Amino acid sequence: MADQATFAEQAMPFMDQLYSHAMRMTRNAADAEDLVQETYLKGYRAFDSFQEGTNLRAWLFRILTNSYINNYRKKQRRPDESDLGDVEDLYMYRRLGGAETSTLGRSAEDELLDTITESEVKDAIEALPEQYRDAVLLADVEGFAYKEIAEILDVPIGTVMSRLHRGRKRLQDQLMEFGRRRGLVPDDGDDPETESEDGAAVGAGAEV
Amino acid sequence: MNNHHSSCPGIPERCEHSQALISQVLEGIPNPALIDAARQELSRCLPCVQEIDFQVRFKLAMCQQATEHAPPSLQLRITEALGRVDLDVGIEDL
Repeated sequence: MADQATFAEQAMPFMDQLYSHAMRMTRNAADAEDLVQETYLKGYRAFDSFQEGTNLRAWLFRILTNSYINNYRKKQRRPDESDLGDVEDLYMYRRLGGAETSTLGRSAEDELLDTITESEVKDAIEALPEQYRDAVLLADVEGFAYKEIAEILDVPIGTVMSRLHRGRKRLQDQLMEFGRRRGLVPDDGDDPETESEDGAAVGAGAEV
Repeated sequence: MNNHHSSCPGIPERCEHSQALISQVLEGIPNPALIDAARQELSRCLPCVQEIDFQVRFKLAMCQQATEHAPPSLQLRITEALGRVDLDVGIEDL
């Protein structure tokens, strides 16, 4: 059991990470600040239930995520949120000239990833449906393990894997679109999307 | 160690083994030793190695998303709010 007197000392170092995540979720500084404050207050009140030796950062992210879901997501629900079945199944390296269709070589892919700006990545992340966005942010931006993400989002680990798989692919598609605009990726006159198939990431069961 | 090639169709998204390794490599903070081990294991399948390399680079691009600094006023706000919780508890106890 954790000692409430040490809460601030232990929890305050995570403020920037919590604030960044809150900003990405709310897209609004005032809401992000309120969300982080609410997280700390709830964390403080519940700190005696925190098991010392477990991951305080993940515990705080879970509180933040739950608070967001309860207080903010309802207000901001976007029309594409339920659009979870649209799985595009081609990997970017193939479109960029992978083993089967190589015309550009790997340097184009490298160049594309190297030249993506932070704001393009941010825009692409923001364009994701929220369920995918949460999983991708926690996994790829915050660096949480799959099990921790499952606990934070309170979903089965298979769901985390599924959302990540789909979210990453959507992001890659979006970023490839930026590449197309820059002429780094050819237009898909012969778009191989027509050969799409079911995505089958390991552990990626049906979305639940 | 290398049992990959026998069952790999040469298309990463259809290869359970490479998908499992990619999934391991992408978990948490990227670990160079784990990435090297996975590349070695997949080394006989060029598309699988390319896929793992791409996915790692993509993850690194995501990781580079800057952490925004919370405004100093927020820390003050929170410290004060936590202090008020203590005060409320103290008053209730009287």
